[in-house]
Amino acid sequence: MTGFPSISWNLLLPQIVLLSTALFLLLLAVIYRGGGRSRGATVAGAVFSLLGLGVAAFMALAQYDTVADTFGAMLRLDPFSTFFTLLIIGGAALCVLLSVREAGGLKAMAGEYYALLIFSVLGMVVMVTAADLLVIFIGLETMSLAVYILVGIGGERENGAEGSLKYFLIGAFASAFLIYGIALLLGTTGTTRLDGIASGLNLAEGGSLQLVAVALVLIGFLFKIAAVPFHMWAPDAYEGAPTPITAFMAVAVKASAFAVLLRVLNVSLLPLADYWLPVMWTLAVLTMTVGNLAAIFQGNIKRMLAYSSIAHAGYLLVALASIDPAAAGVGNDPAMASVLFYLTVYTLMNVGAFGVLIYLGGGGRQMETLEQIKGTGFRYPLLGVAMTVFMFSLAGIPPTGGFLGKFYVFSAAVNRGLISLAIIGVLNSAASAYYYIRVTVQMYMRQSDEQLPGLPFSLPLAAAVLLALYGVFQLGIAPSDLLTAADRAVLFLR
Amino acid sequence: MLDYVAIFLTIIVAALMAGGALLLSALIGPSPAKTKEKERPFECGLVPIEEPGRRFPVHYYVVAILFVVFDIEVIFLYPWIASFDEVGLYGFIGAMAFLLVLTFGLIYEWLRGGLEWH
Amino acid sequence: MAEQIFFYFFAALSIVSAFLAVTRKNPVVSVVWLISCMFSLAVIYVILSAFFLAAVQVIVYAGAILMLFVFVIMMLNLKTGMVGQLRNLGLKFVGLIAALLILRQFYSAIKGAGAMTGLPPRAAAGFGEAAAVGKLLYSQYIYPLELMAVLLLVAIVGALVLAGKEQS
Repeated sequence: MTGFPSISWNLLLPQIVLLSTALFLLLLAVIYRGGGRSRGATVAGAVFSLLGLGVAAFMALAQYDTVADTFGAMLRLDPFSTFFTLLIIGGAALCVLLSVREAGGLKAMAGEYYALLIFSVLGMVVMVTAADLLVIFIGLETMSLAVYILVGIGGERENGAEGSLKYFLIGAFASAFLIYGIALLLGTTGTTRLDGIASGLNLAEGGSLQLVAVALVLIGFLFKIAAVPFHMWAPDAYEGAPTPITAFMAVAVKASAFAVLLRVLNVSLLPLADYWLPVMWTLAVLTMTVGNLAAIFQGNIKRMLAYSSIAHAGYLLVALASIDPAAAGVGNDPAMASVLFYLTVYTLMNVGAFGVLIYLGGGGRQMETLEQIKGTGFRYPLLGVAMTVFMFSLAGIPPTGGFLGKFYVFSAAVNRGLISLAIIGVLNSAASAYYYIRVTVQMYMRQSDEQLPGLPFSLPLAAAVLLALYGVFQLGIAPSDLLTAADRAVLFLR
Repeated sequence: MLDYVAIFLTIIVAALMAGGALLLSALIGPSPAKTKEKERPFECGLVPIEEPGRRFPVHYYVVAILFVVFDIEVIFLYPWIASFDEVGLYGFIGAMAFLLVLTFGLIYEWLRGGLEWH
Repeated sequence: MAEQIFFYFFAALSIVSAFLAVTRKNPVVSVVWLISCMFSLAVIYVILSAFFLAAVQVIVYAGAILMLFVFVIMMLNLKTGMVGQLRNLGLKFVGLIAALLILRQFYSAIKGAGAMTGLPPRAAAGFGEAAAVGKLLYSQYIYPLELMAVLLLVAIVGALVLAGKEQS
């Protein structure tokens, strides 16, 4: 019960910039109220969102090497949290580029669309920079609330309300697990601070209540990354959401939940590694297998990518199962660095794939199922090539970043002697190639039943797809810069 | 704990008075025969043509949600008042920042027409 | 002694009310039981000397949130028995097994927790009162407090967006 915590404002700058941006976008939404000026609202919203994200990223980048905490150690800035802040802001910026057309269709809701997007980014940044479970919880709720609404926004899409409601109900349930676990941890260790929990854990006497608490907290996070068996909401929410929001959920929500999971597992729960490592092993196998098997049977590409995102969470869980508790404080752990690398590549290739999908839908003809994209590869050659690259990367075929991401994850597993886990992962990866390449096959080897319309050129969409394309190749050919950054970032996790 | 016994006694007395009134009227009041005809909803002597409950406009719900939000805001401000002298300027600035963000929400809602009743 | 009698009475009442709230067929009756459950929890908070929390429980949960429940029920206008169609015997069975397993785990966990040492000390005088809460909230926990304002703001925006209020 110390006095008043001092505040280092400069550590807070990214959050303050994001909050101001979101508030400004709300004002903009009010100014552009009314149907006739929706185009102005869309463009202005996108421009100011990008501006705010850019300034926030710049603020974060400027203190990349800072290691400090403030607000009485509620908030911690280190290369790990800054890495994720930048990754999330980058992913969100790409999603803003994808949104320009979709938000235009929302008419008067366009302003709120961008404001909610920035609010959820703010929640994520709060999450990844938090050093206290309470702050993590509030950040997670801010992020989730905004995303629930974004899934159902507009209300004219077929499954928007259904996806939003399912996501909200199950998400609220998961939050209840999380807060209950936090309360039990507070009761049994006396603190909600991440570093305090590690020293408060005492399994020797009556620790099974602590184990229950830890399990509840982990379940709360596993819901957010859609690990099997907590994945039931993902396909419906992904299918019902506007496509840019689907991309946003797949990349940014997942990245921030993994960041928190990594930090909690390493900072707070390292003494319990013997308990959670086998759990992660089992979850990894389940998540990969169920995700890939279900993806094979999907005709709707958005739904297929939803299951594929579950499978990718499985590959990331392989890395979590390969964490070496003995490396604590000694040196870097390739398993943890591989998570950071994989999430970056995943952000790029997923945004790219959704971007191509949105671009294809621009001609006034729905392009969501395997049936509908038949023959598009010849009609729109550049989009066909881009989609092929993203699918190859998602399947893990060289020389794309997706291959290296999987390579690092599985070699981390082999290093730790988890040969069987690595084999299951590689088999899964091979099986996934079937449904990824089927998309390419549909685009190139089948004829469309009808005349395909010309697509209007869209600068923001093209920019997002090109950036993603560049990133996927860049990381596939010259990954060393990102790897160095990831290695350095995870050093600060102990 | 002991300070709250009075409140608890009040609650018990209130419950006894309400329950007692119901009990007494049931015991000593006239009890007409209960027939199916008497239990039915009564509408000017006619058989009702529709179910009594109707769907409410969604606007009620918006107002209710906004009420809950501002209710919670007050809940957070009450401890500030109770500890006003101890938290001093630090707490004052904190409370003002808290209020600023939520006042912004109120302004947004107002301009957006969320408080109008059409 | 009196404290224990109070505790066991209201703990039992809250569990029974919660059970009745989820099993009643008529949603309005469920809500009445939920009020009873929330109220018993408030009494338990008082016994634990969390007085401010007890007041919050009555004002926010038993008051505002329950009012929201009633609004939603009126809005949906569910008739008695309509909820019943959503039930599925197989799911019920799985749910029962899961609930029993969790109950067992909690039982052994709480039984074991009695042996723990080094738990936080018993509440000091004035611990759960509004002034003590305010002292923490407006000093140590100022960052989460400001974040709460943002969370509430998102809720305001969300309510307006989802209700689709738009005069164009």
